[in-house]
Amino acid sequence: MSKSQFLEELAHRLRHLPENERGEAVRYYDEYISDKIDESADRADIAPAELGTPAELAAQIIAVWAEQAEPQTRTAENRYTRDNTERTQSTTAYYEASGEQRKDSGKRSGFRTFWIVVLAVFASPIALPIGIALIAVAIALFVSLIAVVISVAAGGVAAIIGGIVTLIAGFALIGTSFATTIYLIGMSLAAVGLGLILVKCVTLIAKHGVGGLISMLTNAIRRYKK
Amino acid sequence: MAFHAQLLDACVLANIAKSDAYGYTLTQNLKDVVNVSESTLYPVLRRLQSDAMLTYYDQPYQGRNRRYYSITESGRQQLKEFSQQWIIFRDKVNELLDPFYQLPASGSQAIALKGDDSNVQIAVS
Repeated sequence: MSKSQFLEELAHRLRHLPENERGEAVRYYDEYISDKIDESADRADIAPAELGTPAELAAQIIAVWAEQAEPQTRTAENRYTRDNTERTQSTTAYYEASGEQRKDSGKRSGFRTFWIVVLAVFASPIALPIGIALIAVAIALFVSLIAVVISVAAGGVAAIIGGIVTLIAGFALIGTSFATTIYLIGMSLAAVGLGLILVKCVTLIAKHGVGGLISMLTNAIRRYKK
Repeated sequence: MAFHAQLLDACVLANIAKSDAYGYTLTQNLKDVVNVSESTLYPVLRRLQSDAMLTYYDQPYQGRNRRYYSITESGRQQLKEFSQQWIIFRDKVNELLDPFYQLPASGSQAIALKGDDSNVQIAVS
């Protein structure tokens, strides 16, 4: 494979990365291969076999990038103290810092990272079955989350509607039996309250559940890769 | 993994601290010391850059650019910390391994291997 073919394929395989990341990687290996060729006796325009295939190289670059993508704003000191068990103080400082930073970084970038990590898993042939299993688990989790959201929402809406109907029924009976009216109004208000709580629960589940699932899966993949 | 990565970081920083280097020479230099393949160094360099341990400058060479990496002040600080940690670690491992440097050893604390036919006894006295 010639140098330009090699770099072209590398760039193609890195197309999901941000443009500057891709450019940096291709630039580095362009220079590296040129130096390697200059060093060789015959100066043949061949990408060195020791580098591996562009696919392998791309998989490695994507994997390392994904591992770093989230804590990009982390300061240099934190990165090293994280692994240092002797320094519990700075470790807690790091967790605090990363918690703050996670709020800042949008959900979209989290989702993007998730997919690139998934792609990285698929890119390495050994991990393919595990990748498929992980995707299956991810889909199952998303489907069950959606099922939970829909059923709780349905319950909430039903309670609210039922409450309103009961309220109307209660007022309709005001001439017949005052005690029944009081009873029905009480029931209806309780039902509406319950419904509102359920609806609030649904919005909370939907809001945090999706993000939680994504970060959970991303972390699972990262841990597996280590 | 974490330990190995830190050690590699330290070796890269030390190499660049000695003199600014570009990707190819850096790989060749480190091949002599630690087990790196040709594709090991790019992610490491990229990470050290984003941590502001390294900066770079481009210098023209035969009609193309070579990117030289040089160490920053915080990189130097980190390198100092690394080497201090390394000395502690090295001393501990030395302490642990030194008694076994020469086998078979003599002395009351040493482990003696006695070969009786196929029957090998390990006696610690």
